[in-house]
Amino acid sequence: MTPLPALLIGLALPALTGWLCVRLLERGAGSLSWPERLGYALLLGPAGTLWLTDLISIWTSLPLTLWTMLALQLLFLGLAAGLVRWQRLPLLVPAAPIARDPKRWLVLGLGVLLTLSILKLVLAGSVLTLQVPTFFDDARDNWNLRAKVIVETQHIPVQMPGEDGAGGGVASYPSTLPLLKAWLVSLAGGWSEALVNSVQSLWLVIAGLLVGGAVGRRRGSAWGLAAVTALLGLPLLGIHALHSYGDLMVAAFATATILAFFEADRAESREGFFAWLGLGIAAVALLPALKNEGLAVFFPSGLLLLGWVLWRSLRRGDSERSDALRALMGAGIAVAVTTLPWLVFKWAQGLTFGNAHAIGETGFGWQTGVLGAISYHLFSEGNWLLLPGLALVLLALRRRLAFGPLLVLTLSCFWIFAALSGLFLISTDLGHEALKQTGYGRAMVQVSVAWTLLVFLLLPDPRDEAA
Amino acid sequence: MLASLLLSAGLLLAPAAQAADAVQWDFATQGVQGWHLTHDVQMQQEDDGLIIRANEDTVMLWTLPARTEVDGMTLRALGEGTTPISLVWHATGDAENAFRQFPTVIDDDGELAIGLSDLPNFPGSIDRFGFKLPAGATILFQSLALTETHDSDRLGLWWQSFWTFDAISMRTINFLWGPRLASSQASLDTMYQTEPAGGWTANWLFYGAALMGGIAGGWLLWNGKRALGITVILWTLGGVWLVYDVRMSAELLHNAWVEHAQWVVAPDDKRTLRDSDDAFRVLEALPPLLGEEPYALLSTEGFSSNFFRYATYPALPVTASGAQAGLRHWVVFHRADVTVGSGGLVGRTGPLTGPGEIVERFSPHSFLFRVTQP
Repeated sequence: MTPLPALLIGLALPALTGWLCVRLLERGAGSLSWPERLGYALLLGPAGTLWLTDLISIWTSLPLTLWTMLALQLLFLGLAAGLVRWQRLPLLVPAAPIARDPKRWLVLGLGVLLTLSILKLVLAGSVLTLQVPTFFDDARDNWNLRAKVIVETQHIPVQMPGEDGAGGGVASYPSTLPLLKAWLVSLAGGWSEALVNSVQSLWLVIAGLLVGGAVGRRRGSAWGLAAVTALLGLPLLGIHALHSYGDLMVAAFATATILAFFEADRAESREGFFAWLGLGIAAVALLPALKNEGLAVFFPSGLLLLGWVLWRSLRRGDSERSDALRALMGAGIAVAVTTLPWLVFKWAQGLTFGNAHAIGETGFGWQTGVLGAISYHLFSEGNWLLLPGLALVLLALRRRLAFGPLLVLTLSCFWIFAALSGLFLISTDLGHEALKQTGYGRAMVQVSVAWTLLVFLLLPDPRDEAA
Repeated sequence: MLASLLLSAGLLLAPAAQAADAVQWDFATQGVQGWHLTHDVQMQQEDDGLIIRANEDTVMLWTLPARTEVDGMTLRALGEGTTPISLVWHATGDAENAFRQFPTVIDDDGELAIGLSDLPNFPGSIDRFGFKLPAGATILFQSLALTETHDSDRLGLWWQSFWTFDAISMRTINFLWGPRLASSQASLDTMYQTEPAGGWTANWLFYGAALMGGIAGGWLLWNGKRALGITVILWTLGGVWLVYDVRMSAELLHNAWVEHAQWVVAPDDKRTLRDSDDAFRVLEALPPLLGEEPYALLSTEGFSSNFFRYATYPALPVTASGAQAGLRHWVVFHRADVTVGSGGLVGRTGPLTGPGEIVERFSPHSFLFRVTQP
């Protein structure tokens, strides 16, 4: 099979499972817009099924051949389909509407800009992603190499080839992304640099669908188009969309988690509350499957967010204690299935925690100069256009909205930004990376999508003021 | 496409920034007459310059007309390999012995251009300028030009530097410098080669433009025209965002275009990628020649052996000299000091292998060697 059909079939099959999972969680609520449904399906399907495949393989030593991976994919699809049928859920229910903006010319203009943005990335990607050799450190030494090792050995590596000792460095990372690449390579029947590198575009597509869908559903089509255009224009995000790193994947998951819990908090119906809560729990349960910081930073943050949203709902009287218990039980089961086996395996194999450096090996204390380096990265370089400055101004000028109806979204965005920035400010290893500008930018990639969503929900609309 | 069109227009319309030489010195004809040297040095006059050998740390200073305004420096000089030196200057009005310095290097490139106004604590107006040479340094000095950009040229220089693009390098995955405004021609010439990048960030232009829109919109809001005020703010923001997006998109497309020309469509023996010379051609050629056995790698220090590991896996490179004995394949990459003799590969310290043959030569100092008699 040539790379393109392998890519399309290899993503479509787990995405179909993801779609059925979204149906199971959303049920009849019709809370999501169609781009959001597609975004969550593309997010939860491939990552979820490949992560479960990973866990089954590391605990049973099941060889990861094309046929075993295909069999597992069909098994997951069958299970999801069986559950949907058992619950008598329709495959399609009307999606939450995206209001059409009355100004046709504005929608058309923004559509043209969005098309140009997509065309730019496709043109650049046709060279930088598909034809230029893998170049950057982590793409070469981590994500793509681990995929090569899986294809070659048919097992998840716990030691990188040619390195002494097991458990440290990138061998301690979860293998969802390398396994996704290996799955596609197995389908194609041979290694293809273009194929393994092109997977990267998936995470940007998901980010665009989630941001565009959420903003469009809340504010109308013009705002949705503007938000996606702005997102695709973020220069460092574009670089990560074209090169095989894991940070954009984390960004898509972080956004999916925050969006789901924010919408659960704002849900007007019981069905909507549980639909969004379920999607949030599913995304949280997969955070440890992405990168080590997914486990160390985003996973506990996601659990805290879940607890906070439940507490707010109970306090408002929107849900009862039994509802909260049901949600917590669901979260417990999801975490028990997706995270506990991984944690036990890590301890058993002596795999380190922390980022590229084990947590126990780093020193802590205020890192002089890092605050300046962070400010320079955010406000004086070309990484994020006007996003950081605009976010600051909007948080100040639109504080009633930011810390009122959007409180969960605002504080979630602020928390992940502060948690990651804080680590760079107090860790000797990460502080050094911030000063040398080798790590902080990638942390900001992880939070940039959620911040774009927040900014586009904070911007004022002249129509609201006119009314 | 829009970005490309604007880029082309930008480059065509950009008036060439002209920087007049404030003062120049020709070492070939003028030697160092009038310069003050803190220690005796060995000097040898050549047709193309003056060779100076410093026996101990030496400062050589040129006395300039009082209050000489400069913002750029171009030194034509050759060192032996990479020679660390410091630029030394005395700011107008500073105490007599208060000199400031900036460390840099002279290499075999032949020209050192530095935007002086980008340096920390460079005052603009100086009365002495020179160099601090470390003991043992041997440098052929050819010419020195201290330049100043005229105010009338500054807009052109900024326009040109705004549309000057950074190339893709290892740091690109971590950050992008973004548009810069060069302070001098020397700053523009070396803008993305220095750390930090030369000139000033152009972000403040965008912030300024957005702020003006904010003030105009705020004034309308203040006067009760809320919808109009917000419309003005949003359109200003959108416009500024779009211009910035076009600039960064142009950089991305420009780099894709350059790499398409240099790697994708270039003749097989001419393909290069970024700053890696022919490395990726070698990496591409190796896997079918190596099989799956480990191989010895003798590579240049500047190129990570992990590139080889990724390209040739499951064949793995062995870089530790103690573990290389007995390996059949030896990959020599950019190593002029490793040659093939009748007895096999020979390094600086003597024979490395038994007899064998070159399986494939990639470039004069890069080849795959196979040992035939271990």
